[in-house]
Amino acid sequence: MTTSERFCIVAVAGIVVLALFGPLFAPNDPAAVSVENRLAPPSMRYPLGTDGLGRCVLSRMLHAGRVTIFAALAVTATGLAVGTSAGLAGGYWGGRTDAILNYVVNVFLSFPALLLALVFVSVLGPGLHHGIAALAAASWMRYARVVRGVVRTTRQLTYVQAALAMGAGPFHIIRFHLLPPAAPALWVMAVFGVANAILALAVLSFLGLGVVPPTPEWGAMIEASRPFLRTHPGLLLWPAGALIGFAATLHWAGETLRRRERLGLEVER
Amino acid sequence: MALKIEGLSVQVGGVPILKDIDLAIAEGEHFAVLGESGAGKSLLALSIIRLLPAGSRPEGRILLDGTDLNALTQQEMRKLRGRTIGMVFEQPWSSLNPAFSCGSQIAGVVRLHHAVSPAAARARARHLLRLTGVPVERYTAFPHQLSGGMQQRVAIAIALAGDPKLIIADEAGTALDQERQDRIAALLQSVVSETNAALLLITHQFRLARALCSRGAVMYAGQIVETAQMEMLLDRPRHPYARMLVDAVSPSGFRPIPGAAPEFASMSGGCRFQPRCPFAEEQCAKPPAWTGDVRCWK
Repeated sequence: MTTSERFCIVAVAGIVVLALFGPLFAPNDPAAVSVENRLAPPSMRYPLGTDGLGRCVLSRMLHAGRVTIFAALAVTATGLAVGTSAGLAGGYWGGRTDAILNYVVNVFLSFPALLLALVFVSVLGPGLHHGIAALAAASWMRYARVVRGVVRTTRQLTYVQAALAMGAGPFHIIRFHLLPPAAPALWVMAVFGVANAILALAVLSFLGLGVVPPTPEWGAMIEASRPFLRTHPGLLLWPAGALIGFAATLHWAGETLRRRERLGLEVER
Repeated sequence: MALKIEGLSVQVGGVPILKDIDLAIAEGEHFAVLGESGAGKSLLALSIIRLLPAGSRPEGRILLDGTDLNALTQQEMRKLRGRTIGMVFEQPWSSLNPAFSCGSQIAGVVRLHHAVSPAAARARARHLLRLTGVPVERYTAFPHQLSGGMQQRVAIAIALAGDPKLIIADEAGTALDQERQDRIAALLQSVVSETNAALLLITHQFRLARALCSRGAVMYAGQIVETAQMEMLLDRPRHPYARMLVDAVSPSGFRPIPGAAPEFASMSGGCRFQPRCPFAEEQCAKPPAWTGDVRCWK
């Protein structure tokens, strides 16, 4: 393990700790409004000051971290599950199943992911759960593509034929022979997927289509900072910095994992 | 477990490959199918376990103790694969998954057939390794860490995991050197007689066929041209092709058969060996009748 890989693990562990325990360190209630303290400068009581409604910026940041990470993990897990299932089904059974699934994947891929998510949210209405569903619906296709490709090539191999000759059913074949070769690429894609989901969730929230107030969320915080941009730039810089930090760290982790698994460029970010 | 094949024909992608195969293997019998590469031997094996390539159309009946395999659904067929019919493939290194240890692969197949705990499956896998002469310490070895002979033994252990009553060995061991081939043959012989299973040995090695089997058939261009007792088949073959095939590799020297095997797509309706047969006559332009032992006009 190289030094860079060790640093990467520490950074990812930091994100996990912040997401799990961050709210415990919050000095104030993130939703507590106090008009007399609005736009306060950093102080002992409000380490990062307060926002336009007098809420503690640090507390909101820490709570937002947990919301963001869990939402991004939910997006990725859903996309991964749906995409992997679709890829397995198409690659394993081939024929008409494959043709239909391929068609659906192509239709979904032909729209920009964010546009697709926006369409879904505008149909479902705003809210964190709808945002998660929309982003999962806009991200499952890549996993399906990769899994389908691996399954189609692996399925031809003699040991898969031998397993069929031994009476293995689809479940056994998929579990033991088709998923393991697809797993490394999937893990790498999932890490990039979490990073992208964090950014996409922030975009949705910025547009008012993600979390519903008063839930703290970085994208929503950035949006709320706009009226005070000239006088109180910190309101923008803190959530934006956290967003960039999380996304960059996860991209770094994905890149590190990809290099470790010796995967080529075929893994899309 | 008696196997009886009646009038089996297989088309692959519209091209007729196997034609009118008739074959009977009694319970516990060891039967060899001989023939050169491309004669359709492996396709015959695949049609028995119903794992033909996509676009294949089998006709005829494959009776396993009276049940027609061609009439079963894939689900019913899956229950027979491995449990009633075991199969050993030609290249052991490619018939094992490189990502799992040999022992766990055997245990996986054990659990496929028997509802046992993981621990019991591992114990059974170790037993099968012992039975096939693989040191039990190699349980955790990955396929690439084993020699070809050991890989072949593991493949045989996997084929035995479901206690099959019929074992199909498709060129098992042919990819190994002669000494290892003989050892694999001896192993096959011992496990087959120990489990009292029938053996369908598909090979182009007369030596192995003679050592292992009591009866055999010679295939040419998708047809069985002669079926007989093993000594008879190899010492006094009657069909011209069988005669020339046996002569081709006789100890007195290598005598190739003139001409090449016909293309399946452009085969005439007559005797398939006619273009290369030194005894061909006018009547050979019509398909010769199958008398149950020789497919020839004479």
